[in-house]
Amino acid sequence: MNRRALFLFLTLGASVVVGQAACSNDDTVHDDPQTDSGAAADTGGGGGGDGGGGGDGGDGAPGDDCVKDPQTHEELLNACTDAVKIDKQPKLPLLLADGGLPSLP
Amino acid sequence: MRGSPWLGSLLFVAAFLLARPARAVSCNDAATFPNTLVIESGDTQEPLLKAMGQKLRNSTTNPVNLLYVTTGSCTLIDDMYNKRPIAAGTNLFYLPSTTEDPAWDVSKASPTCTVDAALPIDIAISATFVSSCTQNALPAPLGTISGPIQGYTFVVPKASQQQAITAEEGYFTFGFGQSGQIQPWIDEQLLFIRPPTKSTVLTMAAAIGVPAAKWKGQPRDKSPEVLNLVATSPNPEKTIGILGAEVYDANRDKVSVLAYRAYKQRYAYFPDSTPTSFDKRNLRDGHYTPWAPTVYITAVDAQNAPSAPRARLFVDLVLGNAIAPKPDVDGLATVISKGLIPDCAMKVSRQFEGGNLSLYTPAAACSCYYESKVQGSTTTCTACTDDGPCHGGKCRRGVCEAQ
Repeated sequence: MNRRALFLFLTLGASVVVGQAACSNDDTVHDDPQTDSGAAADTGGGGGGDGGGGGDGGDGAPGDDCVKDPQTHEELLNACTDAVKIDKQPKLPLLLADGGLPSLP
Repeated sequence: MRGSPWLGSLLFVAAFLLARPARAVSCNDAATFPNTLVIESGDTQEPLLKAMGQKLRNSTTNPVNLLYVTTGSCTLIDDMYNKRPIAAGTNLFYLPSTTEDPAWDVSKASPTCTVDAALPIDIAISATFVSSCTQNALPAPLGTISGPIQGYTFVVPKASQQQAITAEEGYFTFGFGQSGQIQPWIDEQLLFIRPPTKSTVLTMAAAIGVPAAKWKGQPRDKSPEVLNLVATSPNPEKTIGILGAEVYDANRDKVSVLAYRAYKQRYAYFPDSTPTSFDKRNLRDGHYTPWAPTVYITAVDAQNAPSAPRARLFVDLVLGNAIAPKPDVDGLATVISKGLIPDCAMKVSRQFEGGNLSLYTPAAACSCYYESKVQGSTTTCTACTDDGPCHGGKCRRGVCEAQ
């Protein structure tokens, strides 16, 4: 294989990988795995199943996706902790297009 | 062969006496039950009532006969608002002393007495905010006192593979039932819930945003029924139920708790810092949101303290307030041992059911004491007799607290 062919092969391969990542559904998380201390290895995938894996308790290191000095309700929910946490992105077939919840029947 | 007519008559009388029900113990009999304290309570608080009641019955410093009945929180609130006493004919539970029944312990059912003449309720214990049941003002001289915190849980059978539930999943599962299409909880026959007057469903309802009266599933009147149905479900993967955290704690060998992710939360968390610990750390610091304070409703004085001496004793014991002379019952330790969380161990608070959390600093924190007392604790607190060794903290109950 000459260098040009090798370049094309690698470029094509990289494109496929990037494309797959872009098209994966919301069940796949870990937007910042390095900061996900203690997070579960979410496996939601497209199976429609639980998607939640067991957390490992983490090392207590606060991640970028946690709040270090929580003051408000939302900050308290997402405050840094070394407690076991589970990353779950479930399938919600009835969720509205804008992400809102439909009225109860 | 003919038998003796005397023998026949004797056998008849003996059979009659044996078949006749034993005369019920009267709850009104002051000789049998001196120093009574009548409590109507949500059933999640029964373990506390049994433990505290037995200790008070055996107490030499503060002997009290606790008579109690359990019902839904909204029902007991309505009883207090309408000054409705315990009606004649009602059976109340009581706690035998160790002398009276050495074999009895809190794992056994409490014996009952029968109310012969209506008995006023001294304290009603709601396991959720009064505002969840009524917006009306409490009639004088009644007042409310915030008691220990009660956690609530989603539970699944041990054989289930599920580990977490999000608020959105709860909304669709319990608000829509089968049509919500939330796998694997799509069979409404396997959603075990509580009637809409019960604190368990009221608190969970506020957490997921589905009014208690609109929940899909199979309501059961008592927590043990839900526990049993979940634990023995023939289809564990599709089964889910709701229980008080202390009921779950006492039955971890039968069901598993799900981590819960609230709206606007990034991850799901268990009530405790790990699935096997009992520290309720996530509940106490705001990572786990399905909880409510218990509310003690009783006649109060101008300082909002219970006006009846035995009601005051009970409330002071439960809250861990100082009592003089020092009683031989450790109320706070009893509260903790029954899976409840003293207010002094909380780091967040809320003002109404499902309301936003805010940072909370108790007047006299007991976090270290709490964590050192929970089951399986590995926490060690610095022992103290004064603030000296506490490095700026406070010495309380013989241990150093941060504040």
